[in-house]
Amino acid sequence: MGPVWRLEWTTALRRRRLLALNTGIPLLLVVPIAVGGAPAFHAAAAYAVLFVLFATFGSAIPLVRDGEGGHLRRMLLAGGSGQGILVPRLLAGALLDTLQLLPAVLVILALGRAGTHLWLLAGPLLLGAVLAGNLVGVWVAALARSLAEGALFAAVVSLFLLHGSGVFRTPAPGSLAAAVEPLVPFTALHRLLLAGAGGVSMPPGSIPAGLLATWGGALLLLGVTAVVAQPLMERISPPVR
Amino acid sequence: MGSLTTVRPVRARGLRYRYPGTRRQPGRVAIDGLALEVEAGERVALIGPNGSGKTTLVRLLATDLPPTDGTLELLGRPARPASPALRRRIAYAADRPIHWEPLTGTENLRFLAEVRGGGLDSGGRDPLEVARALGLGPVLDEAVSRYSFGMRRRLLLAEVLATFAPLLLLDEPTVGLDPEGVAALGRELRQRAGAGAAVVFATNEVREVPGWATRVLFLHRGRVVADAPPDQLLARVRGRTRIAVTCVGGEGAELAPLLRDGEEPVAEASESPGLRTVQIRTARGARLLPPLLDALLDAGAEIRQVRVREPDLRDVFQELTGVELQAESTPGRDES
Repeated sequence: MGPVWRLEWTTALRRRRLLALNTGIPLLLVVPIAVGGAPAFHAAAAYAVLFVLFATFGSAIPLVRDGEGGHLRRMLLAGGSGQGILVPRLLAGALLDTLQLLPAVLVILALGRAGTHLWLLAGPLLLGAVLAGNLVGVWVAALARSLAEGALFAAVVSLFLLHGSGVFRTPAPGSLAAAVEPLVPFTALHRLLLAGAGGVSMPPGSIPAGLLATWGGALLLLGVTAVVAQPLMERISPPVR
Repeated sequence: MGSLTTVRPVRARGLRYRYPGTRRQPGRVAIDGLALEVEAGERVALIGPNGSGKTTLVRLLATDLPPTDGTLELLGRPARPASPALRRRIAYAADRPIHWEPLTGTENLRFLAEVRGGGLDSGGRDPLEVARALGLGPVLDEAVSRYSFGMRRRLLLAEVLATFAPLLLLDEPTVGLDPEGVAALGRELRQRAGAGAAVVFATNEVREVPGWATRVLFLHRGRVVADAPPDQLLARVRGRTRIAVTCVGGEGAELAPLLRDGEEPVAEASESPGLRTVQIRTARGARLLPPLLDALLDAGAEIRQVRVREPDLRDVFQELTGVELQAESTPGRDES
């Protein structure tokens, strides 16, 4: 898959402490909620916030850090293309984030005695939503001028998108919010988590639409990001002063 | 001599760079209407004091900074927009070494070679061999996070020197290197230029430069104040030894009777309260030292330090601009 893909995996696997924290902390947050008898709607909202913030922060903050540190600039000046750096980094990051979050999702499903179709859906939906979150993180990194700004923008954009996906309230039927909700790439993941937490079930018939919205949104955003990857990378990694 | 490129590696006309500023505080002009052409196989040293524009010029040539004005062609192509294909043909070692800390030295070398489109075994020069030549052999399989600053600098230089890029740019390449490292770097630079690469490096290491560079550019306030082979520049100050005596007291010493035509004390520098340094440029070399010390001692001076230095490019620079050039410190090369 190329040098950047290998770099991402090698560095992630060598930072074992970070790997353990990234896997352990979601579990530490999820388990008390799952066994604590929280209402399903609130539990699902907490899970969705955790997973989406994990994905957007997990992409935006390292990008801003590597931009400030000059590592991305170094690759660009060595002749790496924006696309050749950004796309493998995104794909590796999404897969790594998914692997780190998957245990927490499986615990939610196990404790909620979820049906088989939810177990089968968990991996693909989580990966699609995390990829979308990682892509949002790239655009956030392009706007941010510091780590603090990156964290702030990532939080604001994530919460806005979570709101759009019906995490904090159910949109009134026929409203604009109700029309937008199924198109947001995090909606299907939220519905899976809601069903997994013992709330409103996710009928098998709604799965194709959910997968399509999640992956369609993620791939569309990936395509747009890949097309403008060079200027995006130049912006994320400005010349070090 | 082989040649990696048939086009002129660097061609700049009216090149200007102003650092970004604000409405209230406009950015500083670092490069001001500079014209420069560098041929394949040339080794060009950029020399100037801090703020003279050396690093900015290297960064412009590396496409790290976009020119504010003027034209800049690199390897026959416009430098703006800088395409990945153009950047792959330029090897740039910045003054600050940046590596991927969890990776070993070998892995860093392999990674950068692959980003550049090659690899450790792509038929090009073996980066590991260059790294060993620079003294990194024993630590190449250790994580870079354990490297000292000097080792990181060497790894950066190995990455750059091992490429087949026809344009090599190095910013302060001797910083952090010990004398053996400096010598190895000089050999590598000569070898790369001999193979047809154009080498441009910013440095104030004026003692090594005459042996490394085929051409020296003095930069001052963003402009070129001299552009000539080092021997030609050194001819301007040949036979002008600089004697510096640092002492306490002795202000009443009569120095004028000691001096011949063309010899005069340089402005005194006061390094700390009570200490003064008397500097004289002379064609008589160290022979002036005994009468000078006698005069100072007779006037009650306590001698703390005596330095005798043969003229080098610093003196040429000072003569041309009136500004003193501070040399980089290279371990083991202190003058006395």
